[in-house]
Amino acid sequence: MRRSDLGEFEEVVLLAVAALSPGAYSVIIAEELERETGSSVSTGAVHAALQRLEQKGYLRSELGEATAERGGRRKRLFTVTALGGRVLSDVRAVRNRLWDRIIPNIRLEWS
Amino acid sequence: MSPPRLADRLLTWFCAPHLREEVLGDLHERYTLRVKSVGEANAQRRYWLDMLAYVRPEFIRRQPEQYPQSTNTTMLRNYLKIAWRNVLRYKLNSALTITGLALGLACGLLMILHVREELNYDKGFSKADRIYRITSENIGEKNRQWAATSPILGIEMQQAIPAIQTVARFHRPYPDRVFSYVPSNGVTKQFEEKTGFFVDSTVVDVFDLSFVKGDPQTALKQQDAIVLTEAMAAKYFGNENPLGKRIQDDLDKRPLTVTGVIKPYSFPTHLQFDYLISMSTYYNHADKGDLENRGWAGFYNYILLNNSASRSDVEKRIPEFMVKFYEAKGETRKEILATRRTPIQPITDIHLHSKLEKEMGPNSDITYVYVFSIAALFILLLAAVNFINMATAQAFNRMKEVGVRKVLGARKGQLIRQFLGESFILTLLATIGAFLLFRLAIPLYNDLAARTLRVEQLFTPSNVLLLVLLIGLISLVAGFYPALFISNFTPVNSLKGKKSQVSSVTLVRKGLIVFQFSVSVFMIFSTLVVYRQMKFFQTKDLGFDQDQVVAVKLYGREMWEKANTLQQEFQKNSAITSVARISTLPGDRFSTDMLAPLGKSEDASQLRFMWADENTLPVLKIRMKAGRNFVRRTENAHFPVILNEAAAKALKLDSPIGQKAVSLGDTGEIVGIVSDFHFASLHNTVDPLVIVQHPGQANYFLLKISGNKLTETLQYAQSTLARLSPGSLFSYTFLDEKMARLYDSEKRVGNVLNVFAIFAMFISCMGLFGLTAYAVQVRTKEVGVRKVLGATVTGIIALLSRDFLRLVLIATVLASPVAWWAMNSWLNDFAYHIDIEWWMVGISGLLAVVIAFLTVSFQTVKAALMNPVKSLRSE
Repeated sequence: MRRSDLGEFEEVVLLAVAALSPGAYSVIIAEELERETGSSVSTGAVHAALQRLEQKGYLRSELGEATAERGGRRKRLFTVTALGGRVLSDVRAVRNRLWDRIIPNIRLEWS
Repeated sequence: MSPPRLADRLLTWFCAPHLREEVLGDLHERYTLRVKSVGEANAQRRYWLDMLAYVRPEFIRRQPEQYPQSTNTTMLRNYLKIAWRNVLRYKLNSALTITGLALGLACGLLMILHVREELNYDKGFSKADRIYRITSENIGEKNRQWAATSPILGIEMQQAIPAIQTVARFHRPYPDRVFSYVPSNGVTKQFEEKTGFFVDSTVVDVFDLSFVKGDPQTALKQQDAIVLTEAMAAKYFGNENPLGKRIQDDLDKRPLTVTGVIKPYSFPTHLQFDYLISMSTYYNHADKGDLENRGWAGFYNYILLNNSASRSDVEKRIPEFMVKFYEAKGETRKEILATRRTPIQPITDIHLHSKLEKEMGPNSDITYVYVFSIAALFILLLAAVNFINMATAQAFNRMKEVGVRKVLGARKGQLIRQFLGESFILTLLATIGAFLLFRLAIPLYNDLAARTLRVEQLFTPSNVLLLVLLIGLISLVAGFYPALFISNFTPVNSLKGKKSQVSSVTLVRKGLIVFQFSVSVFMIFSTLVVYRQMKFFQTKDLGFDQDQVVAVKLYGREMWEKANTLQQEFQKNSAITSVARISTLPGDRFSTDMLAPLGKSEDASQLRFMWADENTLPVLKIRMKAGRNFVRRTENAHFPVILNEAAAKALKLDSPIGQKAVSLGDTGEIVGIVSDFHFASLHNTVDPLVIVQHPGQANYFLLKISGNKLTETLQYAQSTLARLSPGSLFSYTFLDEKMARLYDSEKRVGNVLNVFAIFAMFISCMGLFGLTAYAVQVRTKEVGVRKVLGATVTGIIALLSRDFLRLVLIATVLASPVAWWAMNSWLNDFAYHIDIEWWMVGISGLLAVVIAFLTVSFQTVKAALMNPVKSLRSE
């Protein structure tokens, strides 16, 4: 795992951005994560993670359009950068390789 | 439906500005989603939680400014450099500003000291909050409250009221003592001592006497013991150790042993004394009747309350005690409650709030504290106003600089800071100047206002704090408006060099000038009124002749015994036209006593008493109204008595001549009535006075001297005295000087006001001068054009002066009624006073206008005379 500076929550958020793009921003990411994980996720936490990811160069952002529910305020839309994409696939590759090495009968014992 | 507003407001407060939009947007969007899914109440609750989730450093931290200010001091140094260059470049302006402010601050410093000292009188005693003085009040047609009370009043009050812990009494020896000491080398040292008391030994503890030598416990307990201040000890004993030495009381021929030397008080107090003699000494020799006398106002009774007691504890028990006290004198309960009161006053109130009969010494008045504070405040304000005016006018010179700074990216805040900094630098310079002035002025001021202020007194922590605050406040007040105004210039206009007069600024500046001159006119007017009133005091006919009359004091028994011989000897000198004897000099305090027409004790009245001989009235040229003067006394059963008109009226006598009157058991026959004459100050109307022929009671000779051989005559008197009564002191007073001294406090106020008026005028003129200079400069071209087109010099001067003079006129109109009212209420303090007349207002206004015109003309004449070629070619 080359990118050791990617935390677990950050990884999930980064994945969510990739899955929801174009048009990924903190509210829908938070909603999505809440739906997926079942526990409550605040936009604040997501937003903070997004900021950190942007700082690390995995995401870039731009201001999007304003909508009425937002009280006419614009949203910040995030997209995955090339670097972010590579990091994601690196992480996935590592995981996959490890998954592949699990002996099938052991896997059966968990479930 | 909308999310909680308070949460939004909180978020806006802590969230960094550049993130506010997206964060709030997110919150609101999610809120709408939640309202749909979980309902409004839940959404509201979640909203709060979500909002709190933003409380993390990432959202709170402000974005660094896009163009960060350098942390090094380059810009600061630039500000300093520019400030200093501006001070130097506009020398006149800076000098005027700084001098004005320095003057104002110096006045402020003086006043702070003065007023603080006045307010701190008697507060230095460690038990100041528990010490009270017992006074007594007679309620009658002429209310009199006495600072001095009966010798036993305090003691009996202590027995009756347990809240009183200690009584400490003072009794002033009468007449003033003369002490002598014969040192081993033989040259007798003899001095008259005017300030000293017989005191109880409790004084040591109650009034914190601090002994340099001697035992505080016993020093004032023994008989014939005297305690001296360091200064007095040095006067008599030099370097010798005074302890145990004997000095002689020359009046009573009684030796006293020095049992202690004390330090003078380090704080201002109304208790002024050079020596203290133990009370037992007085009791040993005094008349028993006096000591038990419940009506004799001879002692100052101070009481110290218990730690836990309060003033009201004592006050509520006083009436009951009073009845007991005076019933012993034979008065009925009803009488006592109707005519007598015994108020107690806190010792800290005495200096500023007490004006009773028989005060220990002259007290000040809280009004004067107000007058001085207000005067100083005004001067300070004037100086600050000057500062504002000059700085705003000056601002136009700096338009270009401000324009360039703005174009190069200076922000408003930076400019404000720069100009505030400059005003701070000027204030600092002025402060330094103020300290120098203050140092120089202290001795002058002490002289002028009869004070003993010291420079070091300024440097107490509270004073220093006050000063720092004052300086900070002034630089803020004075600098803020100009700074705000300058930083508001629009770069385009300022770079074009448009010196457009912004109307609001002109209005403010005009307002400030009007204020300055109002204060000046007020000051001039008050000075004028005070001066006229003092003049009135000096020239008013007092009803007796005080010129060329010298009072020579009689010291001790020896001189009294030889008084007749002395009188004859004095009369042998041809320059001395007449010699009289008198008990109390006009201008001093006359003692009071009861007098009643014989057999009509219900008409008794409290009157002033004067003891005199048959020459007194002629020497003083007091006019007889009816009856006759005293004749040379042959043995006579009755004392002949002369009343003044007021006394005749007080006693309700229709045909007084020939009637008998009783006082203290003696009966006298009224032989004459004199016109009322002012034997006391003109603050009050003439009191009823009884003149008794009794030369034996006299304390002074009055010598009427003719011609201008004053010095020789005085020398003759001295040598005669030395011949007939060797070893006696010789001291004399001119009566007219004595009378003049009655108005010392008014005179001092007058002096101080005078100086302040000059300062106020001076500062205002400096402001005006600076402003005209500016106005003229702005209109240089206009003047040039006018001259070319044929304007006359006078026309131009009038044109340029008109605006300013109008302001001064407005100021006069505004200030006059206020000044009129204020001075009128001051004058009403005096029973005899001048009336304010229109011309006084006129003169004050005229003076202000003339001075303002002179100030303005410095600049306008210069501008009007300037060659138009020069002014038009500039650029």
